[in-house]
Parts: sequence; structure tokens; C-alpha cells
Amino acid sequence: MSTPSVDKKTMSRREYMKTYRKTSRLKEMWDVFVANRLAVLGLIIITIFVLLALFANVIADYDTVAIASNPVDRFQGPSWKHLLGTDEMGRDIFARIIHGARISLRIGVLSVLVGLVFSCIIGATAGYLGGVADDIIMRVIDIMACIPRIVMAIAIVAAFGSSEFNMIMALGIATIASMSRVVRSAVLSVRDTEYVEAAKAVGQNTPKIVFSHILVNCVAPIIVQSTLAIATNVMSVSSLSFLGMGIAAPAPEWGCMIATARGNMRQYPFLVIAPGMAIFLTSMAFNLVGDGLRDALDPKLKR
Amino acid sequence: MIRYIGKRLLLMLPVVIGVIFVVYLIMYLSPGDATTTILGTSWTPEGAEAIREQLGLNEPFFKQFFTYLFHFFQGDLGTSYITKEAVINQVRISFPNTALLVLISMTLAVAVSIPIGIRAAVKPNSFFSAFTTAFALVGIAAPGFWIALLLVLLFSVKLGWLHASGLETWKDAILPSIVLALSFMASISRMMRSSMIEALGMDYVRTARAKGVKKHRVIYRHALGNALLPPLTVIGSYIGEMLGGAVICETVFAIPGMGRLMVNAVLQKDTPSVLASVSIMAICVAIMSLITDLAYAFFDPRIKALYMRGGKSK
Repeated sequence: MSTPSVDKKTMSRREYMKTYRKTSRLKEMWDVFVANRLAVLGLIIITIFVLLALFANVIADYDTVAIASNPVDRFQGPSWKHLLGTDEMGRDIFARIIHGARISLRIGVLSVLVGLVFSCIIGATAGYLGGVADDIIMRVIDIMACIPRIVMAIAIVAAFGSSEFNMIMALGIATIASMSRVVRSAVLSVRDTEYVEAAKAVGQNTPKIVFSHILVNCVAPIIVQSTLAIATNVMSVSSLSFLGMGIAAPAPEWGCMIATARGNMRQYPFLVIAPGMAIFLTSMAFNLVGDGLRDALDPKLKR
Repeated sequence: MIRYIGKRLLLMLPVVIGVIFVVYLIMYLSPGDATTTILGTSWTPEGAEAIREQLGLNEPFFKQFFTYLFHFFQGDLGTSYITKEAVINQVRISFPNTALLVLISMTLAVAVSIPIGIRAAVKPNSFFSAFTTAFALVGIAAPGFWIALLLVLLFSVKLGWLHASGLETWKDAILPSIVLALSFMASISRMMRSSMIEALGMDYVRTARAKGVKKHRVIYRHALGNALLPPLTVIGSYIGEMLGGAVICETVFAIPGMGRLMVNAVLQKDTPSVLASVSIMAICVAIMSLITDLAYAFFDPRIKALYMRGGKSK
């Protein structure tokens, strides 16, 4: 806080805040965010899923409950012992879904981070340098944008194999095209501001200017875009696994569970509905929070 | 205008070559060996070497790429490793199915979402508007393959009205196009709604209202014309997502289209088919985005004027 020294002497910090700054910027954003009831709902859903994923091993053991088959308990309906019933191998569906949340959230978040790192480098370079460099970089991005996201991910996974690491990289690379455009336009909007000019005049080097002056002020659109990208990537993870190109069968991946349950869909539709509901809720929650953040962080971005 | 179109067409060539290059590079870098896929159990070192020689796999990367590119533009997409058939023949069968599917769902999405968006904008606080928001949320957040399975459960298993797979009669196209149209509908109706709300707040709309123009006429005559532009021109940019959705849709409904061609090729490690299907889909996206840009220039007088005076393209 850059509190003027005169004030510090005469009044406490709380008093100072009361007199001069009615609300902090963060508090203001939080108020806008909370006023959006749907965004709060999204945040609650995400928190629940994250907690379930974190404590998945405490709630139900991975090897004995989520993976080991238990033929006696096949196709049971919901009960207190099995909250969401059991599947074709007698495994508890609730346990599998919360372990699946681990996989989906991990890949979803990490892949976006991978895409984010690449996009920030690409977008910031293009936006900051401008001119020929910008033209060349953006033409390459145009080319990448021509390949549909999921098709790109499938192609990469097909070429390098479907390990979890490869999926994270594939989905990350697939987000570069859209994300780096967002970063670039954000960088363009702050590139010519006075504080950047001041930093240049003081003689700071280019990386310092880009990271500590420009990118810091592009955080709002980047956060919004990343949140929405997590929603897409969580869906893409299960789509890839559903197609048989992602996480393989015994693992409790949501798309994978649906693919397995499909054979018995006529008699036991619930086996398809439950994991799909988990995908839907997660993706919806990230979408809602993304929209809420958009309104809270940057009113200009409002659609 | 003609000069502009010509220029854009010329600019598309490097994009198409670039797309093929990216896909070719990904496939080239893959650690797998094509000969094991082609020969299968009858693999011998000598046989593998002969195949490598025959396919030119021992050549340097750029020579391979340019040979492929050269053949690609002549319509020779290589031979499938699995069926030993020319890939172009598979594409010829698959492409119309995907094109039809995308076309139907696009029409469906536009026909449904534009009126929905208008209504939600005209009555922003109604139940209908809230319903539209909820509907859009489902369309965006629910994975396509799941919706597809749920619809199959309802319409084929429970009610027995429609087939669960295949593309034999026109009825079989109903479920896949609904699934494919859904996420698209969500985005367009959202966009139409916000664009219409914006248009209704414009000065000329207020003027029209002040003049005493009938409410109906204000909405459909004054506001709609301007509000339609953003959602209609964005359609072209959704084609990529639609093709991506088609991949999943075709797999669930067992429709022999480009997406299923690609998925099967990927699962069987049939590189020439993967290359061809991904490249063709990407080229479709490139062409559609060109058409969108042209349509934008054509429909929006402001942009048209820019090009008519020989202005710079962005």
C-alpha cells in the first residue's frame, strides 16, 4: 500500500481506508461477482468438485473401491452403501466419479496452463513487437486456427500416444490459437499507455517491460479466457477418452466410464447419465465463473 | 471488390499449404513406424526396408513433404495402410455425409436461435429470456457425445421413433443434426440476444419509437437489420467447432463421414487417412472463414466502402 506517511502517523490503517478509499478494487470486483448469482453457483460447484477430488482417497480408496471389480454387487441401484449405485463390474459409481474428477480437473487445469504459457509468449511477442513479426506470427496462428480444436488434439494424441502428459500437451497446444489472439489484443491495448512509455524512458529492458508492466495489466481478459478454456478442455478430455484416444479403460475417467457403460445403456441408462452429469456440471461451473469474472474484472468485455 | 476477392483467394494458398505442413509435421514426428502397421504380422526387416523405399520414407523431410503436397493438389491423397485403397475414394464417400450433416445442423441452428434471441432481447426480464439463458448454458456445457446418448435413450430406446445409428433415410439425420446444432444454437442465440439488445438501445430506434412507428415494425424493420449482422457473420467462424463436433457425432451415430474416417484412421494408425482427413477439414475451415470475411465486406456498407476505395485489408 502506498499510504502517504502523513496519514499513517495521524490515523490507523482502518480509519484511513474508511476516509479515503471506501472500497478496495478487489472488494469492488468481489461485490460484482457475488451479485451474479449464477457465478456464485458455479464457484460453489467448482469448490465441491475440487474438495471431492482432493479428498477422493479419504472418501473411497482408489484400488479397492474405484478399480477392483466386485461381481456380487453388479448393477445396484442407489443406496446408502453406494450413493450412485454400482456399474457392470460392481464398482461404486460415486467413488469412480470423484476419482474421475481428479483426472479431469488435473488435465483440464494443467493443459490450460501449458496453453497459457505458450500463448503469453506468442501473443506478447506479436503484440509488443508489431510490424512484420506480428504479421508473421499471426499468419501462423491463423493456420493453427484452421484446424478444429478437438481435431488438433486428436492428431497430436494419435501421433505421440495417449499418455496423460501427451493429453495435457495436446489440449494445451490446441488452445494456443484462440488464447494467443486474446493475449495479443490485450497487449495491443496497453502497449501505448503512458506507464509503458515511462518504463521505456527510464531505460528498463524489454522483457521487464513486457512482464511487469504489460502482461500484468492484461490479466483480466487472460483469466476470463483461461477459465472458459478449462471448461472446454474438461469436456475435451472426456470426449477424447470416449473416442478411445485418451485415458484408457480401467481408469475412472468420465468419458471412459460413459464409453464402457454404453453397451448396457438400454437396461441401465443411469450408468451413462451419472458421469455425463459430472462433466456437464464441471464444465457449466467453469463457464458460469468465467462469465462472472468477465463482468467483475472488466466491464468493457461484457457481451 | 473483385480485386479484393482475388487478393484474399491468393492469400489463402499459403494458409492451405501451412495447414498441410502442420499436420504433416505432427505425423512425421510421431515415434511409430509405418511399416509395422502396413505389414502387421508378416513384418521382416527386408520387407520393411522395401516399403520404406517404395513410400519414400528414407528421403529427407522436406522432399517428402513437397512430394506429398504436389500429389495432394493433384487429388492423390496416398493409399490407406489398412484397406490398401486410395484415400481419395474414402474421402469421396465420407465428405458428402459430413457436409450434409453440417449444413442441416447449421440451418437448424440459425432457424431456431435467431427468433429465440430476438424474443429474449425484446422481453429481457421474462421467463422466456431466463429459459433461453438456461438453454444456452446446457448447449455450451453439455458434451456432445453425452447429449447424443441421452437423445438415443429417449427417442430410440424409450419411444422407438428413430434409429440409434447409421444414415440410411432422412430420419436418421434428425438426431445427429440436433446434437450438432445444440452448442451452435446456444452461442448464436446468446449473440443474437446481446446484439439485439444493443440495437434496441440505439438512437435511431428511439427516434423511430418517438415518431410513433408500431412496436412490431421498430423491432423487425429498424433494429433487426443491424442486429443480424454479427450473429450471421460469425457463423463461418463456427465451422471449425462444427467439424470438431461432427467427429464425435459421427462416431456416436456410426455415420460414415470425415470425422469417423479420421477417428478410425487414428485408432488403426493409418497415417495417410489421418493426414488427408485432418487437412481437408482444415481447408474447409479456411475456405469458410474466407467466405465469412467476404460476406462481411459485402453486407456491411461501412466495410464495403473501405474496400471500394482501395482501402487496406486488415
